[in-house]
Amino acid sequence: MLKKMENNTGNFYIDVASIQKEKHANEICGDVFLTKKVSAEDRTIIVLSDGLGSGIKANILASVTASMAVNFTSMNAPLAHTAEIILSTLPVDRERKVGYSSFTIIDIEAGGTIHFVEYGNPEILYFRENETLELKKTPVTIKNRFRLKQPLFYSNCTGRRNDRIVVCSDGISQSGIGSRAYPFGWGIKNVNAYIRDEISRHPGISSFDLCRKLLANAIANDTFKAKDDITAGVVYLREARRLMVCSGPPYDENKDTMLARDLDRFAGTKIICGGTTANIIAREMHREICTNLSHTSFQLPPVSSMDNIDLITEGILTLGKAHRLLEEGFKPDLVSKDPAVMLCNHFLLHDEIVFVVGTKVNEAHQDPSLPVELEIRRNVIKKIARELEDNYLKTININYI
Amino acid sequence: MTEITICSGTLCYIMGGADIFEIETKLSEMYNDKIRIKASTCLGFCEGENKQNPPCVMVGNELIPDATIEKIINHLKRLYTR
Ligand code: FES
Repeated sequence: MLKKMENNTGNFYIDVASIQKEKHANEICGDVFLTKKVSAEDRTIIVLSDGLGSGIKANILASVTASMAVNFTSMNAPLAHTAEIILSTLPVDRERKVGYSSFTIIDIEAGGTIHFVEYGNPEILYFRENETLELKKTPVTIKNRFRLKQPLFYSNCTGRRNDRIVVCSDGISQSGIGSRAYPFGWGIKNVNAYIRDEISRHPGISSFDLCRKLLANAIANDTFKAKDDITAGVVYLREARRLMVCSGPPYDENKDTMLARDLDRFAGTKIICGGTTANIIAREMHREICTNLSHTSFQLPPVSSMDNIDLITEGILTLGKAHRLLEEGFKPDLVSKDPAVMLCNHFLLHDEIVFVVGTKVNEAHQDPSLPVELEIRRNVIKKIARELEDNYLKTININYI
Repeated sequence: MTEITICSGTLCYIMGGADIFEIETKLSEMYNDKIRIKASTCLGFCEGENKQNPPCVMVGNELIPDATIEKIINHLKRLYTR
């Protein structure tokens, strides 16, 4: 199972992904990975919990632990207190006299400060510029009626753009145990070295892809039958990918120049949806538009190109289809030449999307005798924006001109 | 060389312009080296003072409103048999 969450904190974008695989022959994974965005404070909380044992019982233990950890952390409860409550809530295992699941909490604040709490899981790996950063860990003491199998550690640091944090359950670090290659398991040191190598070879690797690779390796170590529940979670503090979409002529013609200049200077990807809008920008920037005749088979007018603009599509029909695609659950398709698919690809590959919507109404589009009903641009864009925000977790801004 | 510019703006496209893109397959070979087919964003005839019936196609400098492949071919014939 893959999960993905993104959040924008000041000068970097938080790209979180996780991947899980249950122990061979089990139906459910005994690890739980939770993320929570505290929008009001612009905080991101990430928790990995590994329930004792495997199967449904482990999953329940881990779910309870993870949800308590997320909720207490988001309420800013003191750490020792959070740990005590978690430990006293969970049942104790009779034989082993230990009763808990292990947990790791990562709390990323708006300013970039990151708090870590580690209890029992393989240690957090923090990567900065190809190096593994040593986190200075402080043991946390809690009331001694709790028998701790391992110490509880707290650490913190200030995140920087391009840092990566990797957290995994022991299904990763102990994968391959008993094998000839890794008699004692893959080991967190090897995991660390592996990730460093991956990052140096693919500096822009997404959280998604790194998770996938970790899982694939762990499963291969276990000769394709996972010996334990496996979870890998990756947090990547990367530069936000920005997109500006201009659609529609400004209400006031005097704003044409401003529109063209804003788009031209935008630091990110630039798209125009609408022929008239493209004409305005071409005129203002003294550039030429070239319409591509070779892809005319998608029941949409073909795309065009212009210097310094990444994509030009027709307006309302293409936006309408893009909205339908997003509603149906869109997956990027980088080979398609369908203008609406190309547009949706851009939506999904960016984090922050600004729509600049011209509000001048094209009277000809409102003619009731047209063979198809043309929606009002503003409405379609609003629907697309809502879809992207709610279901694709994008940060959206709409400016009307 | 004559340029045929098919408007691919929204209005022209839905009013039959989409079908005109087929023209290449319908033209006789004699035009092969005489014409070039292009598409364009809205040509500006769907609104305002110069309003014309869509779909609009330009053959050289001449506008063909309410265009169909047939109309364009007839126009070409006139052009090249003069
Ligand atoms: S859409 Fe063809 S002239 Fe405007």
